[in-house]
Amino acid sequence: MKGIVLTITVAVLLTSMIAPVMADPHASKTISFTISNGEERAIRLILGHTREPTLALAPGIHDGAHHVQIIIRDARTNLPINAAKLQLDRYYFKDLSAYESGDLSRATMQTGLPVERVFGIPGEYTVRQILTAPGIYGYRVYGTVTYFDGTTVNIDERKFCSPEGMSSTQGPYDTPGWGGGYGCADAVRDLHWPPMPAGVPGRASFDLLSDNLYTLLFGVIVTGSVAMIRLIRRK
Amino acid sequence: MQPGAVLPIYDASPNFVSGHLLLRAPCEPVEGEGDDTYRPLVTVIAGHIDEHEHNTYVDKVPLYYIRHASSGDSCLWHAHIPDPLNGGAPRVTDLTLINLTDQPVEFNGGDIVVFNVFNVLGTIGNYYAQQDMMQLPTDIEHGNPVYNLNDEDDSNDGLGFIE
Repeated sequence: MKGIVLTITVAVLLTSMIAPVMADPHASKTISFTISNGEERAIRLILGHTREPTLALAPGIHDGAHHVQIIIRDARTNLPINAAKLQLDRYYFKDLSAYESGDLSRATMQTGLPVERVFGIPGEYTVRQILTAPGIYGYRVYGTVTYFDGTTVNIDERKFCSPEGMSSTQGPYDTPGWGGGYGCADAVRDLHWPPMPAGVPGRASFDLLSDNLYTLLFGVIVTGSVAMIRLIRRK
Repeated sequence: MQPGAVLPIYDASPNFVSGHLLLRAPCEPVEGEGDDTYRPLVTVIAGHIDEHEHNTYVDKVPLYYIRHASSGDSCLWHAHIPDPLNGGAPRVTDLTLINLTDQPVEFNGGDIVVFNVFNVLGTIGNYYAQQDMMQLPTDIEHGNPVYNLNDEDDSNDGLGFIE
């Protein structure tokens, strides 16, 4: 028994040691303001997704839960700032050509979403979401942050994810001054290696609207019918 | 504690932390504040003392004088570490008492220093070098800034946290 426990412990330790550590990129921006005694202070607004790499929903394979993660900290001390009243607009472009059109009205968008504090994690805020499709996502965060002395800091910032090869660049809809970036949503199949041949059943799972769902439904109906006929014959 | 003597209290390197400091120590009136505000005879400094002096930055800790818990020659102070409103080093890995006077300081029975750590806020890395901030313990003069919320002088209240 001791041997089993030891083996499991060693296995867990080895697994944790060799497990790949995924990058956790976020965009950040420093916002300066004047506090009540006339001195300059700054906060750091950090924006990204709760998990990287960001992958779109693939039923049965990946849940697509990549919540918006907003972290607000004092720039100099890195102390978390817990007093913020924020809202969020979110945008989605299906592909790069639509994104590069420079026309934000072409995006699928939702506005006025409430930003909630994350329980038990000071300075962290979120909007929960499940990303249902690969593509280019962006967020506008706006509202007020209250600094330690009660100074109100107005926030109105927008930052899109970084399409492949465009990390840390100023996007057409981003407010200026951002550094870094966060990942856009890829399809799970983009990570497959070697690539799965076309027509392999697994492909059905990559798209909610796939024809293969109908194939699956057809299969269930046929199997059910055969079972029903056998039951009737037995009686 | 002899002139120039140093008593390290805490070292969290390579992490910088937030916390609360309590100091009870021999005290003297703050000049210009009458006799109702007192500062310690030793100086409390905080910041980061690195192997490289160019990544070393320490500063005097802003203290809040607690008159109603002080007695005789032994006074009590509180401090927020770090204090984003009243100054001091913004990122603290090290806390130290240092005698920057030219006289020995004799402590009283019951004098104490306590540092209660709240959170690790990050890894210090080369933060001070990157910010081009360098200040060594030898660059500092005696006397912490001291605030007093319990006298009639509003100019020494400092900035308080609003919850």
